[in-house]
Amino acid sequence: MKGLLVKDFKLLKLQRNSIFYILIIFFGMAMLSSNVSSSLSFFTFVFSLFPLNSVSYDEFDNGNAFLFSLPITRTGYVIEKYCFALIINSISWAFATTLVMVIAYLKGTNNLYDIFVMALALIPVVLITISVMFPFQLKFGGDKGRVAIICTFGLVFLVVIALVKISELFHIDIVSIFNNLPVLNLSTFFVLVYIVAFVMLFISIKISMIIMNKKEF
Amino acid sequence: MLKIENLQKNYKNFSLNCSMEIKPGYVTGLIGQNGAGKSTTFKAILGLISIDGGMVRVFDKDLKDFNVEDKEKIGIVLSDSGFSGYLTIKDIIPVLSNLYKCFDKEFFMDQIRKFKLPIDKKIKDFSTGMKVKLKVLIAISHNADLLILDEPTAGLDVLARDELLEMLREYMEKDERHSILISSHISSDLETLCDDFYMIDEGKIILHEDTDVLLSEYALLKVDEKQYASLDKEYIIRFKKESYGYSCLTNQKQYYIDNNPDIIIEKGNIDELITMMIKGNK
Repeated sequence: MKGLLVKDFKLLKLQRNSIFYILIIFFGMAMLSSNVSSSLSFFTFVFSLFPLNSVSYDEFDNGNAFLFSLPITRTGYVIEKYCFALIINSISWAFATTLVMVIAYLKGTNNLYDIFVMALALIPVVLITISVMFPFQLKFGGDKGRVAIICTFGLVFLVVIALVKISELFHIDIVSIFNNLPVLNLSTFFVLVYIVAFVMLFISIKISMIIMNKKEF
Repeated sequence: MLKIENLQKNYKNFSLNCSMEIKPGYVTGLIGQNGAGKSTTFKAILGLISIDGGMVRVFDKDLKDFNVEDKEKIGIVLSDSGFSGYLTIKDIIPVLSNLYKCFDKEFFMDQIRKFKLPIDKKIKDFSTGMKVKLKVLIAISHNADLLILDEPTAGLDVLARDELLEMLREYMEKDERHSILISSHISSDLETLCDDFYMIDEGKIILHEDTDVLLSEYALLKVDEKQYASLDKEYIIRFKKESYGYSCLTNQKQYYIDNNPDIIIEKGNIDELITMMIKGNK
């Protein structure tokens, strides 16, 4: 697995120009915006998409056929991809959070506690993003994967609209149901969201393993 | 070393059904036209495709039970696949060091220098010959017991091909148990390297023979209509209508030299034998 990780970091190095421009935008946003939290969300979310590119690099020019002839297993490949994503996202999250907190402290604009809470809230968002995107990327590849994700989100959107319409027909007020849900305190909410994110990540890894074990090259 | 028994793979317009064996210390050639089933056989051996029947055993172990350590003992060259073209040799050295416990970095670097391969240039910008040399170097640099080489000579000029064959000969000399399975659609590329040949056509093995036997006992008889009519056809494997009469493939050259001194008997190279085996009539 270490060999694959080294390969993916070498390939990530090729995207240094894009990373550089993202860093410039992030830094500009953090310096110029009165609310530095938005730059933190931007940077963390955009960076969460970088590890997905490694799948596209692998399949470019039928590269997967050679890759899976090397001493790796398909399961090991999936685990490596998620580890790579987690490493990249941990580093980018830690970097962005530290930088944003330093800038906020110097500017004296945002409450540092609020920024930290915001940063903690981003972690499950990133985990869920990875969990949703990787199976699509592995199943359909780079370009088709993006189309498949857009189609899936469109489908989910249509289902939600359909549910709202159906509930209206039966005179069910969904908004009031949500309003009447028991109010959770922040830490309970965080624990629940983290649990959901990690469960989704676990399910995503399992699905990706099934996808890769069925693939032919 | 490698044993394939009734390997089956079915596609919409193509079915593979073949058996073959690569013995320790042997260089075995798999030859056939484009689309004959060579790459499908290789993919099945490497576990890149699922199989519909039969068995593949490598190092006396079923392919299903293959683990990372077993795969380290195989060196691979695939004609249409390799490391990402965006990487450089400098990039892939730490990758190989971490993938293979026995990666011989010193040997690898010596060979890179010997073949003047640029270490800082992206692989996608290499010439065809340079790409193949790099692929073969990767395959032979981690003390593999078995090399599986799919069309490594494709697109190479004569000099590059000879250099490649020399690399493979040196690999074979290192250990008497080293074996190679190599495919090509141009068998003369492999005539001087292989100990035996399997010929594949439309997914089936149609001939298996030692190279010595192929070159010494197989021959093409060129006969006119009258000679053909009186020819003993017991040892004729294939025949083909020609403008001058018939060309016939035999695996008993000496029999016809002794009994038909008046007919033209050509030794023929392996490519001609393949053409007759595939295009000739039984």
